Amino acid sequence: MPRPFPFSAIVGQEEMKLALRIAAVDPSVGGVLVFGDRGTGKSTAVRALAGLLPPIPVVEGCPYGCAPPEAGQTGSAGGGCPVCDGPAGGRAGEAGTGGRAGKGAGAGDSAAAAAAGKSGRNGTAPHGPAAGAGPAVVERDVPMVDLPLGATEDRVVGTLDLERALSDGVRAFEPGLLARANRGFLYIDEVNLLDDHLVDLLLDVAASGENVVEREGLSVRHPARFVLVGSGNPEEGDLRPQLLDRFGLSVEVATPRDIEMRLEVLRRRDAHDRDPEEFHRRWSGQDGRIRQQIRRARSSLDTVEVPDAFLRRASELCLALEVDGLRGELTLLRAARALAALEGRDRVTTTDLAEVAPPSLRHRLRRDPLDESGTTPRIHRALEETGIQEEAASEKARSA
Amino acid sequence: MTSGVGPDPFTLAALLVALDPHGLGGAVVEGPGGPAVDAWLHVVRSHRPPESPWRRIPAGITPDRLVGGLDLTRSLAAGRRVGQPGLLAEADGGIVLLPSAERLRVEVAAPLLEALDRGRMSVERDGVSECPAAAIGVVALDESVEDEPGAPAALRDRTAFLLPLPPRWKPTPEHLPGAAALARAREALPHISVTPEAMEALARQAAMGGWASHRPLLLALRTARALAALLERPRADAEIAALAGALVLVPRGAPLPATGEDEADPDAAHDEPPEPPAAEEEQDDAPEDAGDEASPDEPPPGEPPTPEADEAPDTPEEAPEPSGLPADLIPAVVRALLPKDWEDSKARPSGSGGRSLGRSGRGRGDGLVPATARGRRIGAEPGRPRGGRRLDLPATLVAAAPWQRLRSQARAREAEDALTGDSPALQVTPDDLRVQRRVRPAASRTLFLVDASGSQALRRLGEVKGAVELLLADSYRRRDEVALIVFRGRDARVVVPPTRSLVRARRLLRGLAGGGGTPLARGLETALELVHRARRDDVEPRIVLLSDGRPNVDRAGKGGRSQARNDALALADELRRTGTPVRVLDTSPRGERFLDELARHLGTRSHHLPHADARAIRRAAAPSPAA
Repeated sequence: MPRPFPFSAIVGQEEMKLALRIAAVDPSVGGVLVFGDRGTGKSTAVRALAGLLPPIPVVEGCPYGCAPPEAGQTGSAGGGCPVCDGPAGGRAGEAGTGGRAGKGAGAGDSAAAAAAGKSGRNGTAPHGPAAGAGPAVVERDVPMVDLPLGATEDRVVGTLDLERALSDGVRAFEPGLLARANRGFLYIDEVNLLDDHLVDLLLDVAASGENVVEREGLSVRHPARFVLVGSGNPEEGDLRPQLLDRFGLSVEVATPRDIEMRLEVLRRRDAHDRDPEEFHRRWSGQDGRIRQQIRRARSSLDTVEVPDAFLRRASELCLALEVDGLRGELTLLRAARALAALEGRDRVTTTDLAEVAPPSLRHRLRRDPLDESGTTPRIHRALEETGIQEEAASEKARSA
Repeated sequence: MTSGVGPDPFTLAALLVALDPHGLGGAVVEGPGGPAVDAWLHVVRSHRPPESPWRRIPAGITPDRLVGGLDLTRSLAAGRRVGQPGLLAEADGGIVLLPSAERLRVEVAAPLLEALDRGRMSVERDGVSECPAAAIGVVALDESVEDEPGAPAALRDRTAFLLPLPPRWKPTPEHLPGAAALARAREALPHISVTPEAMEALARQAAMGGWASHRPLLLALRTARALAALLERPRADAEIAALAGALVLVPRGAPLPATGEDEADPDAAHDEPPEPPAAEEEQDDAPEDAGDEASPDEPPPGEPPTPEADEAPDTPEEAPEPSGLPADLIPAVVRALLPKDWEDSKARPSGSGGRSLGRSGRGRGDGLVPATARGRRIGAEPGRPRGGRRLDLPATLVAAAPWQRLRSQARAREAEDALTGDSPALQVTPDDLRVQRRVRPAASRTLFLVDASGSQALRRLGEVKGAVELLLADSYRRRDEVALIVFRGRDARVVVPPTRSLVRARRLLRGLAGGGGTPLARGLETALELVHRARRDDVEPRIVLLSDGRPNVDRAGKGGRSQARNDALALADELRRTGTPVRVLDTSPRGERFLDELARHLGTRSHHLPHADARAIRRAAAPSPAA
């Protein structure tokens, strides 16, 4: 696989880059939708993110890439893994069928059982040192899984392992893309063109964090918690509202009209075309800094303070924009917290709110097709009217 | 390449595609098939390395053939999974020929675009998960005729050349350098540098094109490099860039490049200090060396050593080598590649992707949304063949195959008890059943036929615009499409070709003009054409006509009230014979008798809506029974 274009070498597109970093820091933000004209570097940026993320510790041999258990815990950290939690563990209800599938799932059982006392390779893993009989842990790149438009359903959800069925006559489950994407990113380019039946399936899994396969004695449920990243060009067709709503953040990209920026895009692409190795070397320092930033933000995320005043402001904003439901407020909160963590602050500010408001809310506003101005200006108007903009400005002045 | 006159742009494009198919993406060749297209393809093919792949995508190709998947027969025989490469992976390093690009379906387009973008493709089908290399160039043959959407904009955005090949085109033999010369050029290509002036000239030209995509500019840059290799130059200078701009950017609506001496004005080039641009400095956390990277003065270290690389930035205006371009080549290129109504379209706002309203009817780039043939098979999904759903036999067999051994074991155990003798060769259970998945056809295609003549035109257009947007906004589920025909002055125009993208419709609706005569007959005639097209696409058309009912321009575009009326009634009869539902909305102040007559000919009644607003029109247009 050729390496993706370096994230830091992408010119402009600040909102898109920020949204992707936020999702990397806090996956519970709920995914990123990138909409814009064709040829504006949407998928380049998404793929670039994969090259940037710090590796994660996973249980060795687990096909779902489960996190190692915390000290004192048994089974998978998130729960619900048919391999890590073993045939007997976890959900008693499915123990019978789940056990069969678990056996089929390859080396998982034995790997989990053969509890070699190796702990993570470096100290960044969020789990404690394996006390006694923890599973073996390895570091792995964060999965960035492409869901091609032509994917068949069996490859998405997983299916019978053909090879083992044919050669050994064994009923084994072969995990699909949803399993591979667990704890990582599932990327759908041209998401607005995805087949309806796959969309329905994804919605189901994204909501539950769990993939359930039931077929002729093959009964598996496994964790499938992933950040959905979709990109598309609105001119090819609109996205179904049900799917739109699933995304935490929504970003609109446009090409810089500024000639110098365009020229810069061209220069960098050209340099990358001509000597990718050299280009990567040149940008590795800066990519490394962003990686470090994300790593630190993840570990400090839980300690970032969210003052009540912030929550009140967020509610006021949602009210002013008539965004219904809790989703909008929750996204504002999580995105702002991740932003503060990225910037190394221990407290969320009104400035954070103003910055994350457009990507958190623009796809949640009720659409008025007769309003040409689009949703983004409406958000800016609401930020003015609620006084958030002003408060953010004075905040900036004070800190300057 | 030292002839006095120089090759024509079509030859040039063919040679460039042959030189670097994947880098340049390929070409969209517009025009009916025939000797010209064959000759053009022959030029490309005869300049490819002899062993390099050349694959044609047949019209009915299935996704598993295109992308690859499971080789069922061999898998069963071998007792293990055997994958089967798809056509795109087979074509790695070569050229894929795509006939009828105007009918490109989304399930073919998606992998094709991925291969163009990434040089490889992800295969996730039938238990096969691979990522084979597929660095291809595409030659797309766009045979759309007037008023049909052509090759999708997403494809046009990824090929360097858009070639309106004249039907009588023939290559000039002395301009064909031969495969050996191309092989040399291919070898030289990685070592060609591009001067900062050339890069900047291209960026400026592209910025004036007004489209959003970065790709045309990048393709122009690579074209410049390929041109330099083809012309045996060590670097792509401003002159080469002007030619590349003429080949790649101008056909997309960028302004003409300055040619000849104007372009080579050294002062102009040096007025722009070749320093790292502001954009670079704004990225305050840029590493030290990033600035260097951007600086056009220093070629990055580790660049392939070329003897000329060092001189390049210092002597950008160095005299061209003897094999230089003929002076008239660029204007000739530009003339040949420009769309015929370019001057027209230039005056109008150009949309993204270089499409513009000016290209009347030639509604380019209807996006990837497929022209849906009803029930066209696009794959299989688990399900029972009932309720009109049809069994997909191959997919069912693929689904059943892995289980055979398990089932025969189970059956053997049962057989011991029951003594039922021989087991069937293939055991299929209900779980295996796959039904054909079909593209859901659009529920309907609403053709708005709007009278934009006279004084009320602008207001009426504004409301129709609103109605179109309302209709699209709440039709995700039904997948309704709309199209808009406007008639005024002497003629009718398809302003919005059939689409279900609100964004696209909105862009096309911007800045419509009104006033002038009332060519109702021409409007009806255009509607009739769209009705036929809808039937070809297997979509149910319906028409909403808004007019104040005073036609005064006839079918031939001549003034005269009575002929205008007779023509309109005749066309109404013809429309009625197509069985298309029509709504006639009379927007005149007091109701117009002629519209009642017209409505009778159309097999309907006229509704008087003097103050039709967007919501009222939308209600009237609703395909639901409530309407």
